Amino acid sequence: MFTAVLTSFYMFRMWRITFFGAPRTEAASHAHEGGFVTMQLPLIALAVLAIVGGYTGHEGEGLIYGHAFAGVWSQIPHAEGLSVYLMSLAILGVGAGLAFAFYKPSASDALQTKIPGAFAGLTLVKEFPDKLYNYYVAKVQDRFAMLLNFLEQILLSGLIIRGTAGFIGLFGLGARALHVGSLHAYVYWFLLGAVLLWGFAGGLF
Amino acid sequence: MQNFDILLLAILSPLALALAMALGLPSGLAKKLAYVAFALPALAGICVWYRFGDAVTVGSYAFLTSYDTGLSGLGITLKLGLNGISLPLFVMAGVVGLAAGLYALQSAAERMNTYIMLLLIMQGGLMGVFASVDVFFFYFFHELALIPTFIMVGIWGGRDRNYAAMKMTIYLTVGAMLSLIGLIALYYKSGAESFDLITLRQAVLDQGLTAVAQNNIFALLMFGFGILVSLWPLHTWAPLGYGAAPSSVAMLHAGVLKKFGLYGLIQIALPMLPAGAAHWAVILATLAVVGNVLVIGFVTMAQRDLKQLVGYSSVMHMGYAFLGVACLSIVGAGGVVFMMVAHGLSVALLFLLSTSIYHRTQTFDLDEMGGLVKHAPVLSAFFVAGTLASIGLPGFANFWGELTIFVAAWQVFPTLTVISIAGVVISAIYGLRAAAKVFFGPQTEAFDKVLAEKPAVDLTWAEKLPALLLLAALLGLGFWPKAITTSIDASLSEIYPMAMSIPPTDAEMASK
Repeated sequence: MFTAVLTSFYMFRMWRITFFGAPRTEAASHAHEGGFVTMQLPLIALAVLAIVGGYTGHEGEGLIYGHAFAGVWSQIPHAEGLSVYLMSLAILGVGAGLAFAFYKPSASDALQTKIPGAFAGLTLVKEFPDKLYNYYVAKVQDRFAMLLNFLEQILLSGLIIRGTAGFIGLFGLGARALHVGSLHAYVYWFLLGAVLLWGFAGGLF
Repeated sequence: MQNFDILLLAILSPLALALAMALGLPSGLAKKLAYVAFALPALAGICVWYRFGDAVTVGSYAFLTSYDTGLSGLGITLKLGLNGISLPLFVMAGVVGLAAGLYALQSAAERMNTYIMLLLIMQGGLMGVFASVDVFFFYFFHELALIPTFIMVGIWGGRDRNYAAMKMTIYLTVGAMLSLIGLIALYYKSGAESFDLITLRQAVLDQGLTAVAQNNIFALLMFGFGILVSLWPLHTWAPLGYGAAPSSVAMLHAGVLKKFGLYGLIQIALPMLPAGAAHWAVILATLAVVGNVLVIGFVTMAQRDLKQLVGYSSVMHMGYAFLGVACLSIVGAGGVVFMMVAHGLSVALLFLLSTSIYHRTQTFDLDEMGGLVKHAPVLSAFFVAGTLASIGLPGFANFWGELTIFVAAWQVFPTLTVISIAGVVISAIYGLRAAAKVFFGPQTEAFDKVLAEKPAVDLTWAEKLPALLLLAALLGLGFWPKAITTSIDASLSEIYPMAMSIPPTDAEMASK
């Protein structure tokens, strides 16, 4: 019930500050009515539906919803008669009255000047999860993503794949260098091979 | 046998025009005819989709026709037909091909005639892949579509095109070779005298395969097809290649041709090698979820280049498809088929739009973009829709594919399923971040400079038409998935239980 009062409070605050009192900025002083088709017509349609949609006739039968909420009504104790309606209206009135009383004298948002402690506390409650979230995204999640990307580009694409290709290329380059086409060179290679083979057979290595 | 073979028409119309262009058809006429040649496969696809329900089927295939190509001595005939698995892919190939063709025809590519000719060959090959009932031609048409891909990346590609083209060629050739060895081994071991898939299936059913043969052949197919579909860690060709490829090629390859591997696993490997699949399922699922979904998901998040980002996201989404394959169930396989169709449409849309963005920003670097929505609101709407589709938002086709796979995977791999559902959050992060960086926020200085030289305009009709085609298909399947699930379900229910009920031939010996 307290939060219901709060809802009424902030909605009436918004209404109060947006539409009443002196304009607070230069831009706000130029505010004007929107076009009929683009702005007013949709708003009227929504407003009509908002009013009519919630209307219930006798015994909780909704104008639009029919008996769809009968199950909900049956769960509320003392739902008969006017008590639920009166309670809702009372909540609305309390919230609205508080909002108008609180923001009447001041042209600016008054909580900060009137109760600085509450303002700071509420700000902290709102901002702490935001900060925590931002910290997580920037310092944990994005860095982890960058690390994996580094591994992907440097280790996998670079070292393993390009490295293998490079190694084989190097081997090919070396092998090609041996094919000089000179018969003398081949004879020397042959002799070197023969000596090595001899050495191996003789147990030199 | 029908008098008029619509499947052959879909394959031959792009190929015939490509041949005519190679023989010197005047370029003005060729360009006009290209619209027809790209449209015919799409129309043929829609036509067979419409007629599939009433068609007569043999071994789950409808529209069967067979042509002797002089290779019948080797058991090879050009046998065309569609079953419930290949039908949706055939239609998707037609639609994505039409979109890629339309987008290419409005582009300002150099040597336009050759470009269109190669794209037509690719399109003909793609239609052939999904319409072939003969395993040899299934493979042949894939290669036919693959060769123009390499050439086009090498000639019309962007940054690093030579390295990218070479890397793609090596990777995809190795992948194709491995899967070819697997397919030949399957043919050889089955004892069938024909490469015809219906005969092969029957032969495997009649005499069965040993567990050893199944394990080895499935491994060849899994890794061979895996390279082609970018299974982690064999995926590095994909983002590089798509980053360098011209847009229509990236659309056709990432959207359609890449699905060859998954299609092979669903149509050939799973139903014929159930014991082999069971042997490898855990490894496949782990590679798919930890590698493709999680690692590549984070890697995608770190990308600063729009086209690389789309390329990596396509690698990531293949993880879901592999997970579906690893479920070894009708639901899982059905999810994969649906996902292949949805992903083909959505990734093609994103590649198309990325190039359209590039034409306006002159860069793919996300850090140099911003505020494009003021200049191109329609483009931004399309891109956001494409991103949401790729994330898998309900209302788009991708949702049904992913949902079905998750439902199937939950029965077999609950932990991996939870991880892969976290992947949906990852794709939301990078997708929406990219959309925010390109279109919203303040305009960067770099973009101001580009605008001063060349003011950005919104999507032209020539760009809008292919994009609209893809988006309409995504939304259509998103709201009416039954359009394809009925046939997928019917074919899978016919093919899968038969195979799964046969134990490997050496199981009896082992138990004795």
